[in-house]
Formats: sequence, C-alpha cells, structure tokens
Amino acid sequence: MRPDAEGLSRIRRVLMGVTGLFCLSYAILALVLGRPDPLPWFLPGGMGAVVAGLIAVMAILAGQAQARVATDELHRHVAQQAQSIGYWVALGLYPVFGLALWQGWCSFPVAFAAMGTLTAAAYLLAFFVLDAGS
Amino acid sequence: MTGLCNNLKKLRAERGLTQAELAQRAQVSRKTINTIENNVFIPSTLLALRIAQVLQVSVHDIFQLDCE
Repeated sequence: MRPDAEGLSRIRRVLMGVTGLFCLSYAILALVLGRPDPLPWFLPGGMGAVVAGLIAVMAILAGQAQARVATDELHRHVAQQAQSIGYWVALGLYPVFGLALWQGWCSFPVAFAAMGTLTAAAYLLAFFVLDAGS
Repeated sequence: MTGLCNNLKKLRAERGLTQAELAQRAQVSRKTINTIENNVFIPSTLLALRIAQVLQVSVHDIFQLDCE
C-alpha cells in the first residue's frame, strides 16, 4: 500500500508523538524511581532510530513526489517551530536540574537520563502538537 | 495578526478548484493551502509565485497588505 502525502504526514505525526510520549514517560519514570534505567537504557534511542527508519521507508514507498509534498514549506515551518521549542526547553532543563542536583533531589545519572529524554520529548511532542494544530 | 490578507479562497473557488487540486498543481500539501487561506501560514515568495502561476493571476491579486 502506497501512502499519499497526507497519509505520510499523518503516520509521521503519530510516530513522532508516540516516541515523544515514550521519552517523556521514560524521564518521569527515571525521576520517580530514582534510577537512570527504569526501562532498558537503549529503548528511547532505539525507538527513535526505528521510528526514523519507518518514516524513511514510508517516504520511499510513497514515492519522491508525495514525499516532497509531505515535506513542503509548511512542514519545514512547523519543524523549525518545534526545534525552537525543543531548544529552549533543553536550555531550561539546566537550571532546573542544577537546582535539583544542588538540593540532592536526584543523582547525576538520573539527571543525565531525564534531561536527555526530556530534550527529545520536547521536540517530538512540540512537533506533534503544532503539526496537528496547523 | 500578520497584516497580510489574501483572496486565495475566492480566486480558487472562481476557478472551480478544490484545495486538494490547487495543492497538487502547486506541489504542496492540502493543509498548506488551507493554512494560507486561513491566514495561519504566510507562504514564501516562491510558493506565492507558484500559486499565482497556477491561478493565472498576479501575486498582488492574491495577497494584500491593507486588510479591511
């Protein structure tokens, strides 16, 4: 089955949203359980890689013309807005976790895991919300 | 508020084109045409020229700075 541009956009949005939710859940679990690997450590990165591969395969199946339409300038605009949000969230995490580490609320390994997955979640979920709303 | 408004919906309807048909001819997604029509997204000069070319009008016929 060859997806058209709209189908490809929908699949991309859902996959990125699910990956974002997974990253957010991983970070929350890490903080709540107080351990950097509440789930196998390779799952967030592995899921990201699998999802990127799936989106690429769907784009190939859709064909060059449909893939170009699915990555038109509105898509690039939305992706840039999401990157901007992800950037500021990532920066904002430093003072928040700096305070948490200073106060002894979490350990360095937990902060490292949570910050990494929250940074990814911020971009992915921002993309999902902005893309769904545009 | 962008200060930019457009007649895209009116011009498209006058030519009997759906958003999907215009999108296909301009090589963008239907959502892109929809967001332009609703003043949510401002297209690049390139896309504005391409849409104008498809509708066989000037860019100035589609987009205006003075909104009423």
